[in-house]
Amino acid sequence: MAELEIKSVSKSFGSVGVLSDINLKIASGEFVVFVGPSGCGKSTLLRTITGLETETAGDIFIDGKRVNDVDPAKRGTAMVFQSYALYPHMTVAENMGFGLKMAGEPKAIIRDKVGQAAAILRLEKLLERRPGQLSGGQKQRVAIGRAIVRNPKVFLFDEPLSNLDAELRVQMRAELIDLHRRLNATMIYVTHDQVEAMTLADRIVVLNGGIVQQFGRPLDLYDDPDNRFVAGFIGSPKMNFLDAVVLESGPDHVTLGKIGGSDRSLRLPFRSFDPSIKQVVLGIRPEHARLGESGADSVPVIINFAEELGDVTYLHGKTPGGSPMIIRSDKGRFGGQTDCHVAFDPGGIRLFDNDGRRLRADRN
Amino acid sequence: MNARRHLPHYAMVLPFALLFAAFFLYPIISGFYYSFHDWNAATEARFIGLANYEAVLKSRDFARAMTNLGIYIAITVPLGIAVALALALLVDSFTGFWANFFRSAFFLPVVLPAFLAATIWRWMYAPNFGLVNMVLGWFGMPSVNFLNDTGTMLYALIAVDVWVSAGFNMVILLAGLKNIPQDLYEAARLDGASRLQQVRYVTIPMLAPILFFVVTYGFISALQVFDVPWLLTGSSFTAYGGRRNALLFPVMDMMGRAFGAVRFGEATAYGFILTFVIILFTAVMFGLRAWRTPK
Repeated sequence: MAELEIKSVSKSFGSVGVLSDINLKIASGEFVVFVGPSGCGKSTLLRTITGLETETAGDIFIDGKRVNDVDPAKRGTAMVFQSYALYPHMTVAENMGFGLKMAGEPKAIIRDKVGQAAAILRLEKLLERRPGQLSGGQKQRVAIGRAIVRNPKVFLFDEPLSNLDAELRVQMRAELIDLHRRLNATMIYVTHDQVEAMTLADRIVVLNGGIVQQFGRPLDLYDDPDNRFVAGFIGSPKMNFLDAVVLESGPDHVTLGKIGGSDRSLRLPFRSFDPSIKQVVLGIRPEHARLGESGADSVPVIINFAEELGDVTYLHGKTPGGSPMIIRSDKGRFGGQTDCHVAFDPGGIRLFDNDGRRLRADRN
Repeated sequence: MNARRHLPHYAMVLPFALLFAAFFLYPIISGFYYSFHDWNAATEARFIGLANYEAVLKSRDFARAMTNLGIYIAITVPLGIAVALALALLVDSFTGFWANFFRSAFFLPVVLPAFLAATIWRWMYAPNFGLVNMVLGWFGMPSVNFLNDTGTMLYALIAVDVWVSAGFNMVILLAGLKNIPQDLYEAARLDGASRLQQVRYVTIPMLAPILFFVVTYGFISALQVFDVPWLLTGSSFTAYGGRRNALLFPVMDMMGRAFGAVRFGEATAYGFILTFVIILFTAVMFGLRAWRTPK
């Protein structure tokens, strides 16, 4: 269990910048998930922490000790790879004990520690098997076991569930949460799956283009995103974004028009709206949009198709301006009408400027 | 119906089958027949039972050739593979121009005709003015007659054969190295394995199937060693094997008995003894592999 601090870390491969000025402070025992689209730099950041990549600039501290120049094996980190990276010619026990063997530990101690980790992960009966004789989930557990045996200060997981089927993924997620509780270890987990991030993390780091977009608790990111990227990335189905123009604003409100290309307008409570802003993007999550009667504050939507999932139905449509729109309906079955009107819950509306920055009301 | 359907398949196999029958099958069968006969190609073959086999196995030259072969194999195969692996690891650590340069440079001896390789090395080993003796001279060491001193001849040959074969094995091992997933090395690095330990615990086990091929092929090639010692010693069918038969090998001995002494029956028996040794050895290798492969 250890605290991890990343200070102004940047990483380039030649002239290609991958990470830019990353600053994070991860508390001891915390489960932090790095999430972002492919190529956003999340795996590079993880590999930089563990020492498999060298940072171009900045410092990394584990338990207050600068580890930039410390060998990867001596940083006190253990990594679970996406491909599991199990040695195919070694048995499960040999795989799990390899790090201790390299450290020159006596065989009896290796056997004990491997046995303890195997008990935690219910691998006792598989210790003499080779990786080729294991299922995906079992391989995953062995890879985690190899990390546990090393008793690291920080566990690093690089998309460890991406090779598993959907059912096994859900099961392994629950096992990881349970493992984190039992070990109470600092864990960093990389994924591109925001559902995985939301379910596992104490806090989430959203990365895009090598830049930290937001670092916070899952529901804070969901409810209070700092920018359009985070708003769109976190949540499934994703947030709807509708272009709108600012018709007028006052000290405690703003009135938007041409919402989603429609002729409807909407007056929203908003303290100290910047009058220089003439165009905004209105963000609304599917659960904050509801089908209703035609009215001045509802936007017409043409429904293209419905996803009837049983407990909930998602209606996929388009506004008059062509913006895609998803509406959550708690009614099990959709009647089938195509022309609808959608009203917004004012508390669920988030506004962004044209550069994607969140527009926040003045709290004072 | 079935035969008619397969007719085109048989037709396509036929040219190869005919050539194989004419140039492989017939010589093998007739060779086996003559191995039990006294035959010099000019006179009628006379059945003599196992006398040819007995003559070969009891001859002093056969014992010498086999002894030379044993020493040669025991050193050449492991040394050749160790050198090839070292070169492959070296080339693998480079990228771009230097990787291509070293790969081509180390492969060059493989494409050299044997006579050219032997000529180069005869010059390198030449007493007094040869490159090797020149280098020895720089360190104040006396000149050595590598190809005429019975104490050095075999080792001089081994050096040439390692030089010639290393490039071929290197290319095969290099292809194997490229197939080892990088994350295994990264996992080993995180596990605290040094570069040497990564070679010991990751590279070599992961190369096992390719090493099996390289070792088996190396042994089979070594059992048939002929051209380089023949050329290094300037042998002919009547005088071969170098000074005091220090570079006498089975294939060379077989050729001498056939085309020098004109005892074709004895030479074919020699060939079948050698074939038996090669088959036996290959079977042992496959057996070992099956035993080592996890169930």
